[in-house]
Amino acid sequence: MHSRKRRLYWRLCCSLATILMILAFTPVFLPTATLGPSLFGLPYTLWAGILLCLVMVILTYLATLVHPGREGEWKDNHPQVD
Amino acid sequence: MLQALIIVGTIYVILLVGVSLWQRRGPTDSKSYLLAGGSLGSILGLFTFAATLFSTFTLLGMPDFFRVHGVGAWTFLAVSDMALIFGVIWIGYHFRRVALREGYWGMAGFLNRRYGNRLAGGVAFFGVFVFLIPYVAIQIKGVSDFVAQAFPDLMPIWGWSVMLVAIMLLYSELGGLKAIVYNDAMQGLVLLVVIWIVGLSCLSEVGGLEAGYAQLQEQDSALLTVPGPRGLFTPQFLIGSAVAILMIPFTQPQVSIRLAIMKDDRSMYRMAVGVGTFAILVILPTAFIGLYGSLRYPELSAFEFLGQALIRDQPATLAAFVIIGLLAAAISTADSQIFALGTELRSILTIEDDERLLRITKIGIGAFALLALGFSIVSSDQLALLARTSFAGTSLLAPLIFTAIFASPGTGGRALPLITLAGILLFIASLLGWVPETVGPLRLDLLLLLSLGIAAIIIVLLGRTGGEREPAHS
Repeated sequence: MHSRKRRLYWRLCCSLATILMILAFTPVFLPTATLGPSLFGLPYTLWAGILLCLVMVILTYLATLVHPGREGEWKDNHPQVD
Repeated sequence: MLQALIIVGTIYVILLVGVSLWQRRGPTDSKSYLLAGGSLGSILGLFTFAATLFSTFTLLGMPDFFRVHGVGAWTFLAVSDMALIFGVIWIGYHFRRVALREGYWGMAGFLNRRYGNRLAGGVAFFGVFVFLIPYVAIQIKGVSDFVAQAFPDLMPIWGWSVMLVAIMLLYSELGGLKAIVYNDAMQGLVLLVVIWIVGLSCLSEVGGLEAGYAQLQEQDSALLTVPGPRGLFTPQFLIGSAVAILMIPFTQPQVSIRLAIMKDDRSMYRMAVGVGTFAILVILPTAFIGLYGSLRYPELSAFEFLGQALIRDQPATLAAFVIIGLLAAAISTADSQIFALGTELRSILTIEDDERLLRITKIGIGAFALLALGFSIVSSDQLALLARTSFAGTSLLAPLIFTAIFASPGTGGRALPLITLAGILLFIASLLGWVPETVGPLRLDLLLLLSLGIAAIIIVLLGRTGGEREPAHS
């Protein structure tokens, strides 16, 4: 993938993750004393939280594919610990 | 059940010690013993990272959190863990780049080199020592209390604690970090399987998801919303917890060392995605156990409820596996923490002789384990809240560590370590009740972290007027 495109996608993933994590602690995902709408019997706060986590795992996976550290496709990447 | 426990327990201990003896056959220098050779693959990395991260408080604290405080417990841990895994690939990359170039033996030693003085490493070591020892202690105490309650006539609580620490020290001292990593993989699997079997059994007992939550709505609908019936899960509590948990890979040495010893960045990225998946899988069944507890045992104390739900309501063989799963969860976190404290100690020592260094580190590991054992006898049983205090305490080191990662060497000098030390001491004073836990509307831990963060930014900006800046990666 072209380096500039990769960086654009990487920044997009970072922005999305940041926005999602901020929203996670707002009434969008945590409405005070609100039960519904429910899904498969689960209260909103729980199912929305589970969905958010699934989206974050997928987003993290996508982010690893476009991470700027992938440039050079891992070639110079065998660091030493001492 | 005792017979089943003895059989399963014996097999488990034989496996742990066997793995350690197998790993002992390799090289015995510091790098092999303390850093597992520095070449961890993604699968092994995933299990050791997950087993270190998900401790007794996941298996004991989280079901009780769901039972008493409701569904906000999901956001408290699972959502916070998602921030953590993204942080691993975002900041972990920069951390590895700088830390491995410097030669990484431990966070304290790394900070000494980056700040150019021994105060930075000393503050970091003090911070992790003060907040990790109680965390290790609650792992030991949590499991010991629980098992002693399940078998009241077999052994006193302290007897279980001593046995736990002895097993942990035996295989850690024998095989080093590599043995811990392999044993973590085994313990992580045991934890996952056991918690799912119990979770599904609890779910089936309440008639499934829909029926269970419908009953709970009738019984106590506040458990289905935030902030929960006791008002714990306020946005500020959840944000404070998320920030503290997000920092764990960099502020808790037993986790940061696992980032440093990954074979390459690609392994670390795969590991992060795997840990995210593991987090969802391991926390979800604790919600089912909590739901069961809210419906069946709303009035019991934490340990009474856990004894009922995890042991007495389960078939004997499964109950034996639950106890082993609990021991696995406690041991896999506690051994890594104790071992990391030893590694941190080694990283700030300036002795040249590798053999002598290793000997001192091993003695240090034993001493830290004994300290944690002593503390476990006097600590309280608020597992999840004590774990959170540990996360919040070590998170105060984050500005110091991030400055070391992102700013040029020498930035921060002695000023930032001193300010961080002041912040840690203030937080400890608040825990001891000497200063208030809140300042106006803000919790003190959050306020301190914000203040330290701002102080670090100002110091970095002032430092940029002079000195050479290292090239940064976006």
